[in-house]
This record gives sequence, C-alpha cells and structure tokens, in this order.
Amino acid sequence: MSTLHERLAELAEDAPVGGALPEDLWDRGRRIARRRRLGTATIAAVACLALALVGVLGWQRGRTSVEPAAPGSAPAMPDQLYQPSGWLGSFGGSPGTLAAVFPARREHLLRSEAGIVGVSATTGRYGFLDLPDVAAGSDEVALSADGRRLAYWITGRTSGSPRTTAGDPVTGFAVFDALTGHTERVPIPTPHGLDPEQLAWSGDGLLLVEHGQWSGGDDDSADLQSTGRVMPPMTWRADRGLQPIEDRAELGVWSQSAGGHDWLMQVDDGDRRWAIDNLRTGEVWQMPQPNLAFEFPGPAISPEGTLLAGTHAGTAYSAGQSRTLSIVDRHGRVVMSVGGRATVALYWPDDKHLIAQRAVSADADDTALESLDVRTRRWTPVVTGPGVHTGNVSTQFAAFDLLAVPTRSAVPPPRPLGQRVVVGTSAVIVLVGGLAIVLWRRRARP
Amino acid sequence: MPGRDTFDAFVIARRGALLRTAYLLTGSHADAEDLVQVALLKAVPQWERIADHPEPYVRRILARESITRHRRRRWREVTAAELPETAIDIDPVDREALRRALLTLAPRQRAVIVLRYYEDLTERETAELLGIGVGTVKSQTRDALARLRLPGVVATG
Repeated sequence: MSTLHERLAELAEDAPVGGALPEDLWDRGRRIARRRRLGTATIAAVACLALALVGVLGWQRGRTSVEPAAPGSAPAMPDQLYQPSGWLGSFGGSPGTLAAVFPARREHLLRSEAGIVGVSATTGRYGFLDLPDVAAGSDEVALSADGRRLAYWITGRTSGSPRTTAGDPVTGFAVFDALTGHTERVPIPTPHGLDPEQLAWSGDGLLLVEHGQWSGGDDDSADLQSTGRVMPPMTWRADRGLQPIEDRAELGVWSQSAGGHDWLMQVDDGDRRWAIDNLRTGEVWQMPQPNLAFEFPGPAISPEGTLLAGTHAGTAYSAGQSRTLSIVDRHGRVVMSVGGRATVALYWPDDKHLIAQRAVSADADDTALESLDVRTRRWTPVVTGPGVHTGNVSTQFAAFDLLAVPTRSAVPPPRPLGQRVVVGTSAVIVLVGGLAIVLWRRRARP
Repeated sequence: MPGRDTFDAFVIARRGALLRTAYLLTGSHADAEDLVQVALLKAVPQWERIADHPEPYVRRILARESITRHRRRRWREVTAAELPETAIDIDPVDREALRRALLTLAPRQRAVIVLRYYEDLTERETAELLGIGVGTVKSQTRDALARLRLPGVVATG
C-alpha cells in the first residue's frame, strides 16, 4: 500500500533535470519587464491624451468668445440670432436685459427638460434662464418689448385632483425680472389645472393673461379631463396685480405696439365687427371685420391704433410658402397688400414701419426679422436667425424696443459637447485603453 | 540590493524541485522546462521584493501559469468530450499510467492534486496559492480523486 504522495514523488523522478542554466535568464526577464512597462505606459499615456483632448474639446466648444460687456454698455439687438444648443450653461441669476428668448430642450446626462434660452442684450451671451417652476412643454412665453420682463406659465398644487396627462398641472404664471433675477409668482386658483392660452405684454408693463380651466383631473373621467372652460381674460401689472377685463369675453389679439398703448382687439362679436379698445383710456373703436381671414398670429396693431397688419393665405403657415401680408385701416379697408415669402407680422415700432418675420428660404429655421416701410413698401433686413416658425410659439420672443437702436454684430453661441458624448467617449477610451493594456501585457508575456 | 547573484543562486538551488512540480503539472519534459523558465522570467521584475523568500511566489506563478496556459492554448489536454465516462484504473507500479491519468484531469484539478498531495500544502494554502476558495479546493480534490481510481493507493492529507 502506497500513498498518493509517494506515487506522485515517484512520477516526479521522471522530471527533466534541466540541463545547462540559461545564462541570460535574468537579462531576458528584465527586458521583458521593461517592454511590458513601456507598452503599458505608452497605452496609458495615449488614453490620457485622448481623455485630455475630449476635455479640451469640451471646454473649447463650451466657452464663449463673447467679451464681457463694458460697464454701462447699452442694450442692443444682435444682428443675428442662432438656434441655441440644449447643452448651454445657465445665466445663474440675473442675465440683464434680454434681446430674445427661445424655448429649448435643456439636456442633462440622463434626462432632458423644457427650458428657455435667453440672449443677453448687453453681451450677446446665450444661456438657459433659471425659471422656477416653469411648466414643461409650454412654449408660450412672452418677453416684454424692453427686454426686462419674461412671463411664463408655472406649475404648482391644485385644489382638487390634478390633471397630469400633459405633465405637472399649470397653476398660474410668473414674471421673471431679467435685471434683478427676481421672479414673482402669480398663482391662479384652479381645481385641476389651467389650460394656458396666451401671455402677452403691452408697452407699459401690462400683461394679458388668457387661460382656460380643465374640468377634470386624474381621478375624473376621460371626458372631464379632455374638456374645459374658457375663462375671461385678465390683465396683470406689478403695481395692481391680476384684474379681470369686464365684458370682453372674445378677446383675440393683444397689441404689441410701441409707446405704451394698451390696444386690445375683440373679434367676432356676432355682427362681424371688431373692437379696438384702449384699456388705459377706455376708448373703444368699432370697425367692420375685414373680408380677410387673418391667421395666427393675428394682426398687429399700430401704436396709434390706426392700422392692423396680418397675413392670410387660407393655408397653414409654412416657411417658404407665399403668403400675403395685408394692412387694413380702422374702417376695415385694405390699404396695402404685399405678397411674397412667408411672413408673420409682429410689431409696429411706429405707424410707418412694421417689423415682420420672413422666411429667407424653404428652411423653416432660416428666417429674418425685416422692417417694412409702409410708405415705400420696401423691406429692410434687421435681424437674421431662427426666430419663431411654428404657430405654437409666442410672437413676443424678442425685445422689439431694441430695434429702435442700431443692432450689434452677433457672436455665435457656443456649441458645447453634450455630457452624454463626453461621458460615452471617455468610457470608450478607458475601455479601449484597458483592453489594449491587457492585450499588450499578454502579448509581452515571457 | 538583491539582484542577479541571488537570483542565479536561487535558480541553481531550486530549479530541480521546480521542474519536478512542473512535470507533474504538465506531464511533459519540454512543457515542464518551459513552464519553469516562464515562472523564473516572471519572477525577475519582482526579485527585489521577493528575494528573501522567493519560493512561494515562483510556485504560485508555476501553478497559475499551468492553468492559464491550458485556457489559452488548450495544450496537450484531452477535450471534455473525450474524457472517460468512468474512473480510470491505474496500475500501482506503472508511472506512465499515472502520468496519463493526471492528464485526463482538468488543469485546475491536476494543480490541486499536485499541490495537496505532492507539495503537501493544506487546503487553505492551496486555495491561497491558486486564488480560489477553500470550498473549491475541496470539491476539485474530491472530483479528481474520484476520477483517478488508484488501487492500493491511500490519499492522505
């Protein structure tokens, strides 16, 4: 009887004796170790370099070439507006006077959310505005003509079951002061949430608020959730708060005229008549409804309330389509019609000039703000850029008062690398680098 | 500083013992010599650190390399499909039969048998040297011994 140890020891006696000792064993071992170290260090260095390149590229693309504004520099409209990136940074407080705002998806590493990008009128810088409780998906924002106040819809708590089919319920609006960074919330009591319709500024800080009330929340039937009541329009001003507008249940369009005239237009009162109403003086001018089908956004009213400008073509708005711009007087008579590229009438700086947005090509993003001299019928480009190009975006996206002063040469906003690209690329570099090191060390085995 | 001299001294002194273990692990003269050479080459960069007590480090490389080599090259192994279904009866006096029987084991089983019954390491020492759990050592030992039916042999330890 023998043990396994003894049997293995016997078998081990058959092992080779090894012969002469290889003389260069020590030197070979050192050389192999050096090769492995050198290869590993090279791969690690290349990976670090690639990571540094990603970092530098991200920093380079994220930085803006805008020079800091000189103290006291006057606000001005840039001569071009650019479609902002969703990876832009935030202004982080008060951006100062805004030249324009854009709804944009604000991107994060694992999610994205609705956001508003502002363009500084003093520096030309682009950045997301920190708007507390901004309602997701609500593109209906309104920038005052002086570029100071931005009105937007907010979310909050409802008194009853909230209606969340379109996100958190809208429960009021807020006014962001771009000079101070202060936000004033104006809640509107609602059982289930508001159906936001329109926010629009007039020239002297008066805000028109139009909304509906949803009839049901998540706990109610689908029918109730999909129906609502149109509420009487209201006005808001910082010094007197929210006030209903009496006897004007069919409001259509809010004037954006310069000079602080609060013109309001009442449409289709049953007798095919419109009323132009100065909320400040109480003056009301009745006029026959023009035999024109003005499209959204509706006609803009001149400062003196004597002219209305709008577009009509009988077809939905689409960039590149030919649409007719018509100007009618207080008697509903067409005083001017201008055909041509797709046009949205926006703003009368005075009674002789109309600012409109016009498509410059078939590309819906390629638009320009142009000024029409109603006396000569000549168009003059003022600002090029994406502007508004769908019927769902407010026409009050720019500080139109700034068009009274010369524009400033625009600087393109940065196009930062997305965090997902940076993280994904870095992960791939680390992975490939690690794999290369493993493969190299295997290859460089003795 | 320890260097070439102490390395050469270690090789001269311990090469035979290492070759015997390597032979049991590989079943081949050429592979045993190659395995020992590789283990010694790998020990060189670490020599400053292990010079005072190099044997455990070199034996660890030896055992682990014998297993990873099999994974890389499947060298000289009988594939699982060709493994005998039943245990192998070994002639108690036939060394060649024992060598062939060892080669029918999976590399890790073979390493466990060699370390436990030739090197006389404990289960814990074997587990640490191979970088596996004690439970794995036990199960690998049990399976290997069941495959190697060794008449007239007592597995002690």
